[in-house]
Amino acid sequence: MKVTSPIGELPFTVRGVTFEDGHVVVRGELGAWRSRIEVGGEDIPMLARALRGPLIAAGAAAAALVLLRRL
Amino acid sequence: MPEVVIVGAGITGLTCAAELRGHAGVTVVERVPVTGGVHGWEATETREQTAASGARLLLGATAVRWDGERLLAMDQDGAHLLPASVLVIATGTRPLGRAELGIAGPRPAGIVAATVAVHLAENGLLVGRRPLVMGGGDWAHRAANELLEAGAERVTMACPDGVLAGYAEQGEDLDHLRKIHGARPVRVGGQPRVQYVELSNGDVQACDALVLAHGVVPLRNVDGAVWDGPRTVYAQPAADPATVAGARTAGSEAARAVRSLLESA
Repeated sequence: MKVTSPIGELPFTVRGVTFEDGHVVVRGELGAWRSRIEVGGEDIPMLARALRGPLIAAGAAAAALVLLRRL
Repeated sequence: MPEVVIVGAGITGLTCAAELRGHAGVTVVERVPVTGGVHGWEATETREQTAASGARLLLGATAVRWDGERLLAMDQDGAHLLPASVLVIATGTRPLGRAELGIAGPRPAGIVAATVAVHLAENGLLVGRRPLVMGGGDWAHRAANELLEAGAERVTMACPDGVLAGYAEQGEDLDHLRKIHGARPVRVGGQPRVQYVELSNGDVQACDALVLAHGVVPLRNVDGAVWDGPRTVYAQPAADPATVAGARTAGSEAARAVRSLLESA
C-alpha cells in the first residue's frame, strides 16, 4: 500500500486492525514512522459516497458474471 | 569497534555504510522514513544497497547537532544521542538560493527552489501559471516538465550556462516551453507576487513565479557540521545530473576517508 504525502510517495504497511471506542483502528507503518488510521461512524457517509461508484461497478460485473454462467 | 554515524540514506550514504562493514559500527540517520534519497525507496539499487549496508537505520529522524563526539537526532520517539568517532554528511545537494545568485529587487512571493516547485507540482500545486525557471540542468528540466504537467500555461527557462548535454529538444512541449540560452535573472519585480524578471541580456520576462534551479551546492543543515572539521567527512557529489554511479563513487571515497581517519586516531 502506498500513501502520497508532501514528502513524496511512501509505503504503508498494515500491522493490525482493531476496534476501539467505536472506531476501527488500522495500525501500521508509513515507512519507518508508526502510524494509525481511525475510521469512525462520522466517516461512513463520506466513505459510502466515495465507494458508491466502485461498488456499483463491482456489483454489475458480478451480476454479469452470474448471468453469463447461467446462459 | 569504533562508531560512525552517516547522515543521509541515499545511495551515497548507503554505499559508504556498506564499505565500512567490518571497520566500524555504522548508524545511518535519515530525515524521511525510507531509504533511497533522490533515487527513491522503490529503486532496485536502493533495495540492494540498503541490504548491503548492514547498518543500523534510524529513519524518519532529523539530525540536529554534531558536537564532535555525538550527533543529536530527533524522531517521533524523542531525542537520540549517537556517539561517533566520525560523522559522515551525505545529505545531498540543493540549487543555489536567491542571495547566492545575487538576484536584486524586492522580496515578492513566488520565488522558490526547484526542489520545492517539483514537490508541489507532483502534489498538484502550481507555484505559478507562467513561471520562469532559472537553470539548464537536470533540476531545471525536471521542474519545467513537472510544472507543465501540473497545468502551467507556459514555462520560460533562462539557462545561464546553456542546456545540459543530453537534454535535446525532442519530447518537450515546445508550444509551451521556451529556452533562453546564456541569460541569467539579475533582478526580480512585483508585489505581492513576482510579476517580471529582468535578464542579463536586457530582456524583461513577464512571469508569476521564479524557480531557482541553477548551480549545485551541498546541503549542510546539521548544526556543528557546516564547515570542515577534523572528524567530519562530506560525501556530497555535485555532478549534474545526479546518478547512481556518481553517488556510489562518492560513497566509496567517503568510506576510504573514514577508514583513514579511524586508522590515524
